[in-house]
Amino acid sequence: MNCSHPNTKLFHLCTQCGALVEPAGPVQYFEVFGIKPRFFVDFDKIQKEFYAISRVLHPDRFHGKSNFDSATQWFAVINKALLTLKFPEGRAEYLFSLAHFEPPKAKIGLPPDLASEYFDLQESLEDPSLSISDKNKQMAEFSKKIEIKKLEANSARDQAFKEWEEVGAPLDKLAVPLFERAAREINQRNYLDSMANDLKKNLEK
Amino acid sequence: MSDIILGIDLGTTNSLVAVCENGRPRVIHDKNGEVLVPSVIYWTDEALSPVIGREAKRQRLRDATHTVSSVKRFIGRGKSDLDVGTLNSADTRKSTEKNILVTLGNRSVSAIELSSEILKRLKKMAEEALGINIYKAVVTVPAYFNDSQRSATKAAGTLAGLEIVRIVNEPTAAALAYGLDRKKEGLIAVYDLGGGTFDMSILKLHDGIFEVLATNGDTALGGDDFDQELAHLIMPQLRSQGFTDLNNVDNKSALSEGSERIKMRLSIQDAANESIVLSGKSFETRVTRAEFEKAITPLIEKTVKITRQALEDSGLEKSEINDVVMVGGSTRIPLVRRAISDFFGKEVNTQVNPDEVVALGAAIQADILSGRNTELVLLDVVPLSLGIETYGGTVGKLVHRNTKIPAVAQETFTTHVDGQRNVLIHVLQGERELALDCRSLARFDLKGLPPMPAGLPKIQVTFLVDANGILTVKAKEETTKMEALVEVRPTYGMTDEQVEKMLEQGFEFAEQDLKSRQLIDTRVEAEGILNSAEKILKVAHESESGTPNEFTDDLKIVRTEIDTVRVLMAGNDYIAIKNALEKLEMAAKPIAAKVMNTALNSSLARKNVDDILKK
Repeated sequence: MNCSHPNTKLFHLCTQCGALVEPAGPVQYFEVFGIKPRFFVDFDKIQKEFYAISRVLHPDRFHGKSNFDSATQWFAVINKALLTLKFPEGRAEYLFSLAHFEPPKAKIGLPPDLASEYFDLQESLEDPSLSISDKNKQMAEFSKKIEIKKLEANSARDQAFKEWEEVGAPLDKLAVPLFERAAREINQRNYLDSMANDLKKNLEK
Repeated sequence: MSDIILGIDLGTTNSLVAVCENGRPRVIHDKNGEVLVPSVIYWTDEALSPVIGREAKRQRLRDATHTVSSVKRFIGRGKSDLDVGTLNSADTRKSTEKNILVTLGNRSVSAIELSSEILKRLKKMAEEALGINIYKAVVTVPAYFNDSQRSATKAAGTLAGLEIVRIVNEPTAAALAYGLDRKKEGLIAVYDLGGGTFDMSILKLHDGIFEVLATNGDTALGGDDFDQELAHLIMPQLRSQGFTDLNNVDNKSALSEGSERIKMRLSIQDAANESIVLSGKSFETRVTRAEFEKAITPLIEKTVKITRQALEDSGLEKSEINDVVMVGGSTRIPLVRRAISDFFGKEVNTQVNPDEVVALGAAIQADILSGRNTELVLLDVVPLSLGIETYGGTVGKLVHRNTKIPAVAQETFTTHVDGQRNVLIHVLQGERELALDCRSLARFDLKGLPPMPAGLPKIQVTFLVDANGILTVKAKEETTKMEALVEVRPTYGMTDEQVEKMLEQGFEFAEQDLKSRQLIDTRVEAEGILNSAEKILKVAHESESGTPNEFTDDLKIVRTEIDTVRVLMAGNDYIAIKNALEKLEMAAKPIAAKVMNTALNSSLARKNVDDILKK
């Protein structure tokens, strides 16, 4: 349903006629909360806006009314928008999609300076003469190094997004080189994450 | 038509109904002033409809083959989910893969129908108390109930002539009632341990918004399991006194009831001595609290583990939780309180009425839906992840657990074989990686794909989870001009058509039902009046000693009337029973008044009549 009364918000209940005003097509998640598409956001502000929207647009407010089904569907989209923008990973991925940028799926391996250490660790783990506590100690030390690398990857990603925002945060091909840099760091981090998880599982054993 | 929406707590052990008036929720009493309706069903072979509640609970000891309790542990489950303890005497051998059927004498009844009978009773109770017809209700379910269990609960409402306008999670409902009164802000944990289910929910309360951050639970862990542990504990004692016949259903019922009594005592005493009548013989038992606690420790540890997981999912630290609210009858057990307060490192909150708070919350949610309450909003989550079986038997998750509802998710799938004409879509719920470890919600076949090379078709699957936590799935093939669209509602053992058919049959039998209904109701009413009359007689006899026998004759008349009622109750003439009841009430009135006077003159001066009668 739509009414002709002016309002700047994407979703709202018209204060003049009470109509549930819905967006015409797919919505842009940042717009749902009235903010610009950026990597660095004030999540508290988003959350506040989400609560304000919830008070008016939660489907419970439309029980028994003709627009109940569309309220349910739109609120599902609003929930999805909140979830997408909540964490940096989700925001990055969403910004990529807004710019029609497809992150390269190139396989990322270990950072070169960790590679030899990783092979040493593998050898130690298979060495029958080493005690379990020694092996655990080595794994724990390696885990620490991975954690440091993860932080490095995160800040390199953040740096790329910062530069993107400094040039005006374009969402077209101008963004590509910076997004490529960010995507590489994200891949690196994901790789390290799964390695850290494997190590954690091993340690628990 | 009234627009009143009831709030119903359909519990494993007890059910109750509440309503909101001027923004304040209150529980509804029955004619005898009782709030809790035991979720027990007694259905004889001749009766068209069953007896529910207190009377059915009494019958459980006399006629266990026609009685069933803890039906909630069966709803929305199939044969392979049967994990209820051996103490539950229900005969479920006739169950099917999608539906549990309970045999009561010579009839078999589905868990959905049994639940609908409890709902009918609650509906009637509310209609009598409020003096209007009611057609709508909000019903609570354990937060950890899966999609089938939720859908089945909704169907039970339809069968009972109640439109379930909303399914609300029990801990969330409890939080609503808790937060309404106290206008509390902050982060709370709701620990809800009931008769058959356990939930842990973490919520943020903020200016009228009740936001669930995470939830976890076990839908087959509760008071019933503690009873079971107690039964194991006392078994050697019974054996040493010569007890053998545990396969007898009456004995199972008596044992379960006796265990429940012991459990309740052990919440207030360090040891319990209880006699249990089995095969017509009385057996003595003794259990100490320490023994009981040792036996249930593994179960309590399970709840602590679940609590830890919920907390982790919420992204909070223990120390950030402002209040730990205890809900459900089983939180009366001292060990439960101790374990949870140890876990959080703070006193737990036992201020809310653990039996009533969920129904009160449901009534508040009903008030929100009716549009009268515009101050509060409930933001709940999906308890278990939802996904689709992917190539190789793994699960591709579309909606992760603790995602806010309503929720929408989309994913595109494709074919794996050249020229493949159809795609089987298998919808699953659960946290495990492999499809066979998750609960299968629905399978549907997307037919009529034009032949294309493998990997070319784009099949877009959309999940929509509504505010009840119930899923709808749509699938669409996008590459070709031809679009296939399928809408699937997951199965729960009964199709919508089956529910409709049963409703029609219900109307056909309505008149017959009415008569037997009235007979049953009159009998139940009679039981209540007889009980009070006997109590009055007892109090009168006691107060007689030392004072002149001023009402001996009156007592005799009451005694005669009681006997008359008892004789008539064996027959089917409910009008005769009603008349006899009236006479009894007339005869008992003067005595009741005298008893009250005596009482008022005595040291009981400040108590009311009810308290005296309860003596």
